[in-house]
Amino acid sequence: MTFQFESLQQLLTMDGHGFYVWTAVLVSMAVMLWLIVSPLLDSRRALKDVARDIARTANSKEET
Amino acid sequence: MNWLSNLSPSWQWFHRLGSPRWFYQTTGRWLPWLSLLAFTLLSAGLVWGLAFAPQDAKQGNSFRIIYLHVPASFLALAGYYIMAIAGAVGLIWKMKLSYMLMKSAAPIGAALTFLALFTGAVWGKPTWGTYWVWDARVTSMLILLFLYLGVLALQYAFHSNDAGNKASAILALVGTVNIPIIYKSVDWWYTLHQPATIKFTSAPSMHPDMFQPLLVMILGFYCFYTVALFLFTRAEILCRERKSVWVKELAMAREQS
Amino acid sequence: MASGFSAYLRRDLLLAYRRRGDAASPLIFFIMVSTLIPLGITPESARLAEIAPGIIWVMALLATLLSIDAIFANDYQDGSLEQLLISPHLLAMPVLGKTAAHWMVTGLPLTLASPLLGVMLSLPAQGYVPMVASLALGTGCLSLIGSVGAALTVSLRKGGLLLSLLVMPLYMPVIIFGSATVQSAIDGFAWSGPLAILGAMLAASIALCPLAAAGALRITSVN
Repeated sequence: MTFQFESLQQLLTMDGHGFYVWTAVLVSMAVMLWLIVSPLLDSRRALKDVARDIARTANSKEET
Repeated sequence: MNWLSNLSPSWQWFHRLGSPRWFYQTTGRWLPWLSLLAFTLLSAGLVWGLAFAPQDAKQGNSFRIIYLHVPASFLALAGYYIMAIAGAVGLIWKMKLSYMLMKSAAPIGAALTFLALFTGAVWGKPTWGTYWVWDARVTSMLILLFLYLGVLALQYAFHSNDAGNKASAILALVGTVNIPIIYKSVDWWYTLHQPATIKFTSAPSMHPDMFQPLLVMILGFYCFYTVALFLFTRAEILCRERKSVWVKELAMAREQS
Repeated sequence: MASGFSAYLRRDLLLAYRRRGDAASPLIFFIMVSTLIPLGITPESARLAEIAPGIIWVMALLATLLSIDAIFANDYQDGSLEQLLISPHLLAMPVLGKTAAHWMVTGLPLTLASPLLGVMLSLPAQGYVPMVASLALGTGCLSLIGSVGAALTVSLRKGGLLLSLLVMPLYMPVIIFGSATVQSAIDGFAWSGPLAILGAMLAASIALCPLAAAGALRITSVN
């Protein structure tokens, strides 16, 4: 197993194919990141909503 | 049903498996390890594939997109089966959790199908000189995307969660009939695309130095898919079970920390 | 069991006869849209002949889609669908009867009118018999597959557009083999192969689609 490129610069350009390869990599990373982040945000929002509801009902009980 | 689970202990796991709370707690324990495994496999495979695998004699460096394209296509197809099986389990055993898994599998599958199409198009430009070719496999991938979008659209069209779940489970099962045709279409309308590069029945036709990083990437994508499926399902569980005591306790504990 | 089939076939045909205007619109759509093709692309007969098989098949598909949601919608609105659900028949048989009636009032007229379109789009002579044969089998598939989508969306207010989104991917194999039948006849090849596959698809659809549609109706028409 050897490093296939002579320099970092060559790794980026890849003999003219760099644009295609790195576009594919970046878009894949973005989509996969979204698949992880979006459910985490949903979970956090759901838990926050539940906590807020509990706090609200507790407050209204104190008032009455 | 109680005597039944006492009668045969092997049924107990099945009942527990149907409990969203059990699922939430168990996957909570698994997720750190699974995420670590997915991250390690994906980064190792990607670096190996992009920088260390030998370049293809004909396609040069553009072939390196294979390390994203093939795993994404695998999971896009496998994800449809996972979705359909989860839907079928839901319909047969009326398991709530199973519907939640099905509902979570749809956006993940659609995203991966999009990814397979996108990386294929970007790969096509340097290889065939065009981004889009109406070739059998590209077309069947596009049909797969439409099938996913149909399931998603149907799911959200119903006001009642229950009806939406059952309806999209049926649609997913009907769509599964289409998947063998997608595979067959590779033989029927083979035009521009390369033949299937990996056949598990015979030895890989790729050079081992190219094939090994691909295998790592495929494993990494499977782990990633599982992580994403767990995360989506956990979000769905929290949303649906927000009235239950354990979710309330969880929310309070989180608020205090 | 068969009584459920023929009773609903007869009933739906009678209803369609009473609403002749509704029943005729897919056919008129089929012919009218085909007039747009020469206007939009070219009146040149050589180029029209090239695309005629595909155009006729796409039009047949769209015309079927246009009418497929009516297969259960009227019954859902007037409540007779609920009666059907509690009737003693195996639900798949009445569903098959209703689908057969739908095919007779849309697919069959489209098939019979297709030679007219062939003339208008200057389809080569050897294409006519395969076109009629493939449409006869293929529109049956379209009605059957469409019935599943119609059953899934029957209770939704804006079900029509959603229905076409659900059903169109499932239609794609039918249109591939349908137009392949006509195209291979025009190119001078044997066309029995793709036609046989269409026949197999029809047989599979007859066996499976009414069951799926019946299951879908039980779920979606409850609320």
